[in-house]
Amino acid sequence: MRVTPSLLFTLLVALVAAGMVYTAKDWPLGTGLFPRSVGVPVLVMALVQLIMDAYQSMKASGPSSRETGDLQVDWTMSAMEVASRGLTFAAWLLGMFFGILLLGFFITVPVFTLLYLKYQAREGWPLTLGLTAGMLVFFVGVFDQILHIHWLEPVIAGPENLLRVVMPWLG
Amino acid sequence: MFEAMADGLTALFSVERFLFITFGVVVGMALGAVPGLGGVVGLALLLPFTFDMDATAAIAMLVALSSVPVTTDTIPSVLFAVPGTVGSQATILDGHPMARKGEAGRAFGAAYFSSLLGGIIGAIILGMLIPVLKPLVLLFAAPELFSLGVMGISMVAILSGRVPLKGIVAGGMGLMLSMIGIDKQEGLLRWTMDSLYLFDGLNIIVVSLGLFALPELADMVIEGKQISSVPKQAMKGVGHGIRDVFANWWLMLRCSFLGTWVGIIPGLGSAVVDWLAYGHAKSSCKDAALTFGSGDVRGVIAPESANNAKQGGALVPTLAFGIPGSASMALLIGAFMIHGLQPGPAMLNQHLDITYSIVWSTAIANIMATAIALCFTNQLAKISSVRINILAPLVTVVVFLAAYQATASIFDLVTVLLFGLLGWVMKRCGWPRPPLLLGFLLGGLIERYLFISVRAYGAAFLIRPLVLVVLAVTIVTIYYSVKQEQKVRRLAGKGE
Repeated sequence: MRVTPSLLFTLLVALVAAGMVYTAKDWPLGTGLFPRSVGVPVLVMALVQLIMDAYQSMKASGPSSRETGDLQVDWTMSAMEVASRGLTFAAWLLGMFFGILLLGFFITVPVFTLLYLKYQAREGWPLTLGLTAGMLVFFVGVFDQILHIHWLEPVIAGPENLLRVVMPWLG
Repeated sequence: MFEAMADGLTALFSVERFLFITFGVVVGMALGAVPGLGGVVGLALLLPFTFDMDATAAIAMLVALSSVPVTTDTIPSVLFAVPGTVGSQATILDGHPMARKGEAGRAFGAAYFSSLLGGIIGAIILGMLIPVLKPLVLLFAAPELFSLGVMGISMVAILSGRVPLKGIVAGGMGLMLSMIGIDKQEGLLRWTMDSLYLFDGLNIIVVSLGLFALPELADMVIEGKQISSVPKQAMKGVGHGIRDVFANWWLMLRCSFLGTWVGIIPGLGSAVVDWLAYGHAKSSCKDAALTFGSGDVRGVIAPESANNAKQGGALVPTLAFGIPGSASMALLIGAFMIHGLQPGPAMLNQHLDITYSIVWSTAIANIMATAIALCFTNQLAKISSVRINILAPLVTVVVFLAAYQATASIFDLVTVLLFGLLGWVMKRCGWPRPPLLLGFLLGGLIERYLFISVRAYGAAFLIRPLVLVVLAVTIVTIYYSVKQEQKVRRLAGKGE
């Protein structure tokens, strides 16, 4: 049997369903009835799906079905290339997340836009700076000045506080 | 009644009031186009400014504002697979593949025109129903609403393509995810892992952004192309999309009625209406099982006509009983009260002219929004030929901001990333995402109305006439969708 990502994902779904059903077993009737009455059939069907996937992985390679009624995937690229590019993009997303957590939105949004355009997209400076400025104006104008979103306090507040000294209207 | 209709229309014919409607339309359109925002944000922002305005102008502006975000929410859905509002999730399934095939202009044309007609039909039905509102709304008690929830969840069978078991499991997981948070019946915590963030449950905006926006963005970045690689000259334009709406007028009409009906029933919400319409189209259109999901314009016409028509329907319980079917309708009720109007029977007697001016405002707002949107359609469609690496950082920032503004917590970003990963893995492993989202949307509703039904009627709630009708329609729908799938499998087996 070949352990495919599809098989592993089905196993994960079955484990999550089992975990949810198990934790719901001691809940009182009102709280636990709906979770149990949905969870048990889901767990059973997930296990059936797991057996089907395991059987399929012994017979053939690749996902069991690509006709999911969802948006379709381009299967012409090699798995290695997909993984490599996917990880690169995931790194950018995580970079943005940790940037927001550490330095706040006001620093991270323009820095992320600028770095991505310059080093990932390899665009020229005029377009990079123009789009970064446009994004900053949109972000500050709509989300800060009009919507008055409550921004989280970053872990390293120094740079954002400095920015607020230069631009005192920031929220 | 006709006198009140005429009074309602003439009341809007002043330069000042017309300008306020235009302002409401422009703000509503802008909010619809930015993911995560929508009519509620606009109403909350503009409501304080209406205190000193005259009642007709203020309410016309706010009604216009709340009617049109569902027209422009198509833009991010089609171009980036990012749902503009919760009412445009289903549009992604065929709208985005159309953009990738160089048919973004066609998708916009079809979406805007079906939105226009859907919005007008919703307004007409609202106008016609005003004299007979009360018995109609009272037909739907908790058991009927529960059966409608079951009907909605049955769409899982239609949205699962050729992997029904995976679809049902995904739908079930969606139902279970909807149970995270404080249990409404007993007040106990379910699967919150002692996290304060999860006490109120997962936010629908964050979940849908994660499930659809990030995986599609990731796949476009991985492929490294522009959204559409079709040359600009070969792109199909807005006129094509408008002709599609006329060619599928019966589908548009059916979905508009469906949307109005869903709007009339308080509690079903705009997040469900597009999926119901999409599922209806997929189960009833010829060869839909073969073409839906790969850029079939009927998959755009159905949800877009329904979600605009829903706005008219949602005004029915709001005006007649003061029962808000959604957060935006609750804010509208607030606006009525600020201006000395009490929603309820008075809106159908003493203030009938104002009620009709609301109907007219809805229709006028839809016409204006479509006219404005059509002017920019071809320019917007050209975005699909811009390299994705230029668009990716901009869309990523908007997705993060849209997710964060849901509850202004860092956990919104954690959730969007986790659901992004889940959505991408599901897509790659051949698991359909729409059933999971549908289960998540309907879980709370089904549980709430099941609980009330059992408490109030016992098991006898299942034999109420309307419940039986809705459940019969559900079974027939599932039967036809299974038949269609079998037909597709037969055709695929024959290699056709």
